[in-house]
Amino acid sequence: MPRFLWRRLLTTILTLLAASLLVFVVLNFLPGSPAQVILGTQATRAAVRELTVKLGLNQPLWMQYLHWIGGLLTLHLGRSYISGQPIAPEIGSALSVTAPLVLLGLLVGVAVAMPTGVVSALRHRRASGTILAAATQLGIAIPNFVLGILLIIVAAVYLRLLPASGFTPWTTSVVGALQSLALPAISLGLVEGAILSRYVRTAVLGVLSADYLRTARAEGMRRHQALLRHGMRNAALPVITVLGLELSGLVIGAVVIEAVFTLPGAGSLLLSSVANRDLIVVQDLVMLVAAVVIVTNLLVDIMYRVVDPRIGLGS
Amino acid sequence: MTLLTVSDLVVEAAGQQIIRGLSLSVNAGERVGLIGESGSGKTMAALALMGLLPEGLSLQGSIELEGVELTGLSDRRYSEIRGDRLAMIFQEPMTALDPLMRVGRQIRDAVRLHRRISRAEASSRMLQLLARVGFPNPAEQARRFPHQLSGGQRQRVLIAIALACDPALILADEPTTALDVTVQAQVLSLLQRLVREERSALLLISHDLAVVSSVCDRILVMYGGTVVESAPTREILTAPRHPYTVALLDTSRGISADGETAAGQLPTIPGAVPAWDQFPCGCVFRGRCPREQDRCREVPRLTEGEHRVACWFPFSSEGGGGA
Repeated sequence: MPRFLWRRLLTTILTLLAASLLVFVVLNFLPGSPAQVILGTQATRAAVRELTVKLGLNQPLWMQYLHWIGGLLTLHLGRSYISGQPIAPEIGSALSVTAPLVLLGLLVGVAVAMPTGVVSALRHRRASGTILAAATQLGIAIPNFVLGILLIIVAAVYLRLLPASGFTPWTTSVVGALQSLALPAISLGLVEGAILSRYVRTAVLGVLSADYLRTARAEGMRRHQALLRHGMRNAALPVITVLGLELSGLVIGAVVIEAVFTLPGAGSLLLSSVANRDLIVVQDLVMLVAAVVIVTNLLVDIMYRVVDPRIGLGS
Repeated sequence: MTLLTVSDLVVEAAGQQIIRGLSLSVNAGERVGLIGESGSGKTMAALALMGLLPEGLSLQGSIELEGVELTGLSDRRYSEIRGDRLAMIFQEPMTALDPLMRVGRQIRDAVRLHRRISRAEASSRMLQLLARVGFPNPAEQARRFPHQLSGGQRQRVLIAIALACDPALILADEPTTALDVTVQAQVLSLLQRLVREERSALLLISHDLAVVSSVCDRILVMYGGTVVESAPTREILTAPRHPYTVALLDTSRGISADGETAAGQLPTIPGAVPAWDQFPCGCVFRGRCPREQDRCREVPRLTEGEHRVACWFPFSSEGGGGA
């Protein structure tokens, strides 16, 4: 394996460790004890103490941290403080909603951004290109939850095409699950797609005026040939970077969108766990989001080097 | 045999002429130099010939290559000629190659654009081209990316691309300007040797009189978007007739070998090249010309013959030049 990859993997692991420390420390320094919260204000001191010991919260912090990390690595996440249910299946079922939602949102975003970005760049001197660019500007200006509510009113309430809220589990009906994810994914993806479209437009505009494109034209390539052969990969470089950042944006956007569409995803789970002071679930979920962002960055970095020989894998 | 005939070429941007009535001809196998200061419209003329003018510029006049009228051709038809009969080498070798593609593949693509040959045949042609432009180990060079090559090496790759389909005419726009002085001479003599061997014609565009006169049989002097004088190289150097050509030669002659100048100052042409939309009507050199008279308000036509000049009051043809 090239040296770059080793080094990049090492920094990724260190970043993950640092993130986990931060998450653990911040959440553990919040005032109030989980045991107190669980038992309520009427509980006796003795009862609170007993529960604290039972939950392992009287152990030194570093022990608690190691216990938590060990659990994460072996997927033994323990039980919720509040419901007493095992956490792993709960997060698993939440992810079965959120992961497809984010991926579908990304798909919608890319499907919107690529054609609009490319066309508005190719026609940037004409009215059609300007109108398209202005439309994407509008898309950026609309928050995704407003778009979500608009979509509910139009597609669910008036047209009755798709469900407005709730989730049909995958095990019940794959089509049903996709249907319940359609509107949330569109409202997530359209906004991210509008942002991405601007970057695609800029990248294509840069390629259009590049000297190597003129060389290709001088060789006798048609404009579309030259764009396909030399333009796409060059324009892809900045877009890959933004795509990585967008994925983080989508994960965060999903928290809000799940609330709008009352989907039982990771976002909803996070919100309810925060409200219930279900500290350990919050800790796991925040760590999960951090891990997604960090690993995405790693993938973007690797992809960038695969595409661009100037940076190279340093083999 | 005349290969290229350009007559009364006009390029306009927003109603202003950038090229005003350019006429020139190049014979098969001939090496012609197009010389002029920056802003004289040399690059624009080359792009007009290639049919690659930037968007928003309009073109009138006639460009005839091998009996085919190029103006008004569809992009599809023009693309069949570009790179095949008519090739171009650009000024900036550092950015003229796709940074993400191995140079061998870029040359091979150029070969395959106009020839119905297999990938393997194209590859062997590509290696042959790399060897011809002076790479001692073509197979190894072909696997390199542009950023792994020096400026001179990249320009040689671009020359290989231009030669890929044996063009009848190669346009070279300041091919050595961006290179180190030591590399300039190498690339120039390579270009000269190759066009001679391939029997291609060369239109060499440069601001550098020394470069043009060392390579070319004939020199066209361009000023303000038009050709003001055209003559065999020797005649341009020994018996220039247009006041602009005379002034241009004086600027390079006034310096002796040790860098001393007669008057203790670098010789210059009085005034400056006007902005492209600020040229006077009539003769374009009006206002900077020492021989200007009332008649110069009319546009002078290029005379006929071997030594052509567009001036109402040219210097005499008997070598009276710089007097």
